[in-house]
Amino acid sequence: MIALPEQKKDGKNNETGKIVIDRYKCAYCAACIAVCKYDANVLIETFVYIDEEKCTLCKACVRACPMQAIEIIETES
Amino acid sequence: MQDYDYDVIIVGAGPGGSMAAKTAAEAGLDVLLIEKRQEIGAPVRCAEGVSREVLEEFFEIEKSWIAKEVVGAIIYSPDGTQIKMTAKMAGNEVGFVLERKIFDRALARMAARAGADVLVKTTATSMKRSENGVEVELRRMGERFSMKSKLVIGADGVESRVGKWAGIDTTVKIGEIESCVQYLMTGIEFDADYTHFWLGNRYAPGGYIWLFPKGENTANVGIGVLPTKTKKGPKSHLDKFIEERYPEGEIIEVVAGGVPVTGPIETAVADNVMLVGDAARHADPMTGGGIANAIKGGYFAGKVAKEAIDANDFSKEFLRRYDEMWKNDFGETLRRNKIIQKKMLKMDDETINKLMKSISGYDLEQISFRRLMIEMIKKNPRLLWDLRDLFF
Ligand SMILES: Cc1cc2nc3c(=O)[nH]c(=O)nc-3n(C[C@H](O)[C@H](O)[C@H](O)COP(=O)(O)OP(=O)(O)OC[C@H]3O[C@@H](n4cnc5c(N)ncnc54)[C@H](O)[C@@H]3O)c2cc1C
Ligand code: SF4
Ligand code: SF4
Repeated sequence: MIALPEQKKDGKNNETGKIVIDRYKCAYCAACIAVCKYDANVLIETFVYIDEEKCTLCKACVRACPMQAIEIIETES
Repeated sequence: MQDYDYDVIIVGAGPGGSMAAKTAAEAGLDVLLIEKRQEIGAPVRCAEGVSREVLEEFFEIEKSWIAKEVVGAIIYSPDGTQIKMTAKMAGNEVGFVLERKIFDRALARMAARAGADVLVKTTATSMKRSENGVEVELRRMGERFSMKSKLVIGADGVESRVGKWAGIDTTVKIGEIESCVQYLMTGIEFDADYTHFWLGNRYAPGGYIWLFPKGENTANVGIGVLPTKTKKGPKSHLDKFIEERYPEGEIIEVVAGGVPVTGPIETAVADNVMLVGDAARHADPMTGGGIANAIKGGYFAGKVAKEAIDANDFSKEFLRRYDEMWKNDFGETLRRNKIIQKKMLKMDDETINKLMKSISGYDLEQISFRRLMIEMIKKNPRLLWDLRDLFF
C-alpha cells in the first residue's frame, strides 16, 4: 500500500540512529502522528510509540513537535 | 444478513464525534462513541474561541460552557498598527471563549442522553471491512475486542488513523501543520472585551500569536508557527513574546498541539466511512479554527448516516452526499482561506505593516470581510492582484 520511502534507513543521507521521545517534554499532543506518512508512530494515550521497523528517520515528526521533544540519536550500525 | 453490534461506530469524542453521535442517535440509530482518553475534553488542545452564531445554530447554550464573551478582535501588525474588528466580521473563531473541558463533556452527555453508548479509555486500533460492514478492533484498559457496524465515522482529530485505514491519505505535510504551544496565564492586563492577534514573522513565522480572554486577568496566550518557517519551535517564540509583554503573568496550564492547515481535501468518504472535523482536515487554514466546522461536519455526517441506514447503502458513492454537504457549507471558505494563507506566507513584515496601515482608517463596525478585502486589494493592487477573483 505505502510506496517505498523516499529516504531509507540505509539511504542517501546516511541516516542511522533512532527516534527517541523525551517523555519529560512531551505533551502528548499528537502533532507528530499527523505528519508521519510511514505510519511509524502512534499515540497510546500519553505515550508515543515508535515502530522502528517502519520509521525512515524522515524527521517530519521532529520538526512538527511543538515541545521539541523528539530527537534522533545515534545507534551502533 | 450478518449481525451488527451497532449501526455506526464513532471514533473520537471531540466536538465532531459527539455531534455526529448525538445527531445519529437522535435519528434513532444504534450508536457507539469511543474515546481513547480517560477524560473527555482533557487535556485541552485548543484556544477555545468560537462564534456565537455557530453555537446558537446547534445548541441551547449553557452558561457553564462559556468562560468569556467578547465583542470583537484586535489585530496587531509587526509595527504595532491595530485593526479592530467586530465579532461578526472576524468570523468563526470570535464571540465566545469556551471552557472546552466542560463543553466537550456536555456534548458527549447530549450524545449519551440521545441514546448513544459511550466508552472512554477505549482506543480503536485498526479496522477492516467485512461483507457489507466494518469490524473495528478496540482496546479498553488492556482488554482487546472487536465490534461490527455498518458505518464508521472517523472523528479522531489531528492524529486521525481512520481515514488511512479506509484508504484516504490524510497525512499532513510538514508545511501544512501549525505547531502550537499555549499557556493559560493569569495575573496579566489586557482588554478582556476582545480577542487579540499578533501577526508577522517577528512574532510567529508562518502563524500568529493569540490572546483569548477567559476572564478579567486570565487568558489563553498561544502561538502557532509553521515548521518550515522556523527552526526554533513555537515555544521559544512564545516565551520571548511573553517575556517582553506579560512578564508579570503566571502560567497555570501548558497546552501543545498541531492544527492541520491543508485546505479542503478532495473527499472525506470511503466505503462505510466518513471523516469529520480535524480528521477530515476541516480546520480553517487561515485562522486554525476547527470547532465550528467539526460541529457542522458531525451534524452532516450524523444525518447522512441515517440516510445510508435507511437506504441500506454504505458505498462511497452514497456517502458522497456528506462530501456535498460540507463542501456546500464551508468548502469554499476553506479553499479561499487556503489561498489567502499561502499569500500571507509570502509576505514579509514590511508588507504586512503596509497592508494593515492601508485599512486602519476604516470603520470596521460597518464593513464586511469581503468589502474590507476589496478595499485592501484596490489600495494595494500590485501586492494583492492575484486575490481579486476571490472577492470581486
Ligand atoms: C493550540 C490550539 C489552539 C486551537 N484554537 C482553536 C480555537 O480557538 N478555535 C477553534 O475553533 N479551534 C481551535 N483549534 C482547533 C480545534 O481544537 C480543533 O479543530 C477541534 O478540536 C477539532 O475537533 P474534532 O472533534 O475534530 O477533534 P478533537 O477535538 O481533536 O477530538 C478527537 C478525539 O479523538 C480521540 N481519538 C483519536 N484517536 C482515537 C482512537 N484511535 N480511538 C479513540 N479515540 C481516538 C482523541 O483522543 C480526541 O479526544 C485549536 C487547536 C490547537 C492545537
Ligand atoms: S508532537 Fe511532540 S509533544 Fe506532541 S505527542 Fe509528539 S512528541 Fe509529544
Ligand atoms: S522520523 Fe519520519 S518516519 Fe520516523 S516516526 Fe518520525 S515522521 Fe515517522
